[in-house]
Amino acid sequence: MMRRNFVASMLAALGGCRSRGHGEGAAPTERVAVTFVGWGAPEERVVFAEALAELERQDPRVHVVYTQVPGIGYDYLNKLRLMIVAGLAPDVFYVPDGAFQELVRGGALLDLEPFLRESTLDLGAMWTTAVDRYRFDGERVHVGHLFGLPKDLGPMVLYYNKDLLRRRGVEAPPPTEPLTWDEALAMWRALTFVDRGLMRWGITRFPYDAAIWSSGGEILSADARSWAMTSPVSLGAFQWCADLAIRHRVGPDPARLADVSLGELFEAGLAAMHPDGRWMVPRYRKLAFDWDVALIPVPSRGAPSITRSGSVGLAISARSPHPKEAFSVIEFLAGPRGQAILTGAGFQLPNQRAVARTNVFLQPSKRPAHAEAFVLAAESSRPAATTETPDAFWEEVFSAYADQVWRGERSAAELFPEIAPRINQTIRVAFEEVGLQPRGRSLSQAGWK
Amino acid sequence: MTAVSRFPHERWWAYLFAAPPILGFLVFGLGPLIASFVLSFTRYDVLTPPEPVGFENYRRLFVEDFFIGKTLVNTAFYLLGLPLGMAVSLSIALLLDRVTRFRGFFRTVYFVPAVCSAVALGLLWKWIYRTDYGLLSMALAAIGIEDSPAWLSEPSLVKPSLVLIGIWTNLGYEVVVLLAALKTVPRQLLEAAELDGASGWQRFRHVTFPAITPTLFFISVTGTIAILQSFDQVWVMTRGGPAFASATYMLYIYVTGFQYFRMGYACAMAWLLGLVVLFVTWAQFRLARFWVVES
Repeated sequence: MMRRNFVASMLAALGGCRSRGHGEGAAPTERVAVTFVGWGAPEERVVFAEALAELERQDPRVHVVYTQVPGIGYDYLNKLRLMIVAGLAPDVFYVPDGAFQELVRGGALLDLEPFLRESTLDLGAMWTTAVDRYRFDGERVHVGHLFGLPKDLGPMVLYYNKDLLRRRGVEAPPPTEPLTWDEALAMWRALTFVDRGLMRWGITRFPYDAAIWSSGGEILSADARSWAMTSPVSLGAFQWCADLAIRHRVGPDPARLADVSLGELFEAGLAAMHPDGRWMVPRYRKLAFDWDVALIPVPSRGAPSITRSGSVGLAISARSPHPKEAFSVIEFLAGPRGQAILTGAGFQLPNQRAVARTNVFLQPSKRPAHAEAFVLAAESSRPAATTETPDAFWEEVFSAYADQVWRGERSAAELFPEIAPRINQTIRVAFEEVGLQPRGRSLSQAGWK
Repeated sequence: MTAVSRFPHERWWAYLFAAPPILGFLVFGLGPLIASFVLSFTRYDVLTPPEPVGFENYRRLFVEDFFIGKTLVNTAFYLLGLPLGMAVSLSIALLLDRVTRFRGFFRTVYFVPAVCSAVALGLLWKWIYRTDYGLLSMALAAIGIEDSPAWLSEPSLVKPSLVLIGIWTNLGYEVVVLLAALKTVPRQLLEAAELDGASGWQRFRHVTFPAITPTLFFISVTGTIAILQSFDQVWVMTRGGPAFASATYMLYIYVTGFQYFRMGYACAMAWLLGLVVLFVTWAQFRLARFWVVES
């Protein structure tokens, strides 16, 4: 027993995250250590320390041991998964919306409904799209009980280099009304030029999901069991995005980009516009040039600007020995006061709609001048299509093939029907892997050779 | 008999000294081998307990999964680098064999890539291949070729570009091994051939080459196994892209197992690779009798 405890403490020291008094049941007067793991920039540590200090003042029962894990995406998820399997899961942890499905299906997350019934937290004050992406009804995500609370919401907006626009005599896009594609294209043409031997582009790349959704198309079917990008609307929207570089020449040639990221082109002043999320704001505030944000353009006047938004959820481990105290942590962080503190660093659009309309978020003395664009974009944003499937491998398969369209080697209309059986099969396998019955056809049934 | 009586515990000492590698193999070799074989018949996402699925993973592997064929073909392409690399290494080794001054210096220069980490070399070559300010593009620009190809993002160029790196990386090791082999070529035979009027090519073809065939066979077997398992440089340089054009089979196993946590299926894939390696190695041994000259 002693040896087991020793091994557990060694593992805890290595992981740096094991809760004190784990599994021992704290006495009522004792402070309960709640372990909390997330990722983030160094600046976020500061706002988290402030928020957690305030929580501990409000609720003296709770002491939060916060660990910031380096690396996001699969690095973070690998570490989290291993901690869960080793029985060393932190009480509270970040769940990116893209990984919510695999973690909730794996039984790693605690159902929050019993706690929410007794909580004063107003879910109605949050963006509905942010809340709903942490729901699960036992089979489908985005409906049913809540297994996480949104820490933030990150809709895509169009960042633009104001200095470059001024230099080229181009009027800035309106802050509250999206441009139409035609208007945007005219603007990008004016912003594409050769400057002392260097090519400067109008836009880096248009987000194809926004183009499809704003045109009325879909990426996946309603039940997320099949790929819907072979519809004429989706095909047309994707092709329009690719044509910006290969036909209109207002974006960089993907074949020649190699490993230069699109964001780097914007930061270097080589692209006038670049779609990205709120999390880029602290980084862009260090840029030497003036910049602002606008809504993502739409196919025609009056069409909704529907963009993808990312979100990080705050979840409680299904095996947490302190679920009540853990809930108190996420309740505070997702509530109005916690959100006001976390928003201060500039990384996130708060989950609370009301906080998003105050100067805590808008920060009028800092860039961007029109931060309300994030609020407007959030209203009509959607989670990425990959959040609707058990994993994102199908998207990786699609992206790999879609390169041919981005590079102008084949048209979307030619390629997409050809690759549809492969992508549908990848989606079917993903559902099979989590034990859900297949509804699609196999490649051989679909006549794929 | 005397020895046994003088050292009655000798047998136990022998077992003790042999124990570390045996235990190492049991714990880190045989154990995982058995576990992966059992897991290959399950659906296992690490978070939830393995669920038996019979031969489903193997059925999918052979019948449905289109990436298996694609990544195996890619991996087979990388095998082309092996004979090319051996030919280059042999040529350099033959030249170095004749060098009398600075031999140590040359050997060191050629061996340096062999002691560098594969990841560091991958990153280095990634910079060399960059289209904008990569060393290769700049060298091409210097001789008047302004529009340098996108070495790593052009599907038709990415595999040959990676083969070139593979050849360069293994060059040092192969050169050193072949230099050692060249030292074993019987001098008296070479001299006898020379006295008989054999040309340089004839001496190489009929004396030197047969003498070093066991070494060439060794390089071809170990090289083939290494290429069939290649992962690190491809992962660092291209992550298998563009459009899976450079993805190796091993990379696909990694993505399946450690990115999408389809561990059961990844185990089945690993067993297929094990069988492929076994078959290819067996075939190489069978073919060896046609070209390898036993000393």
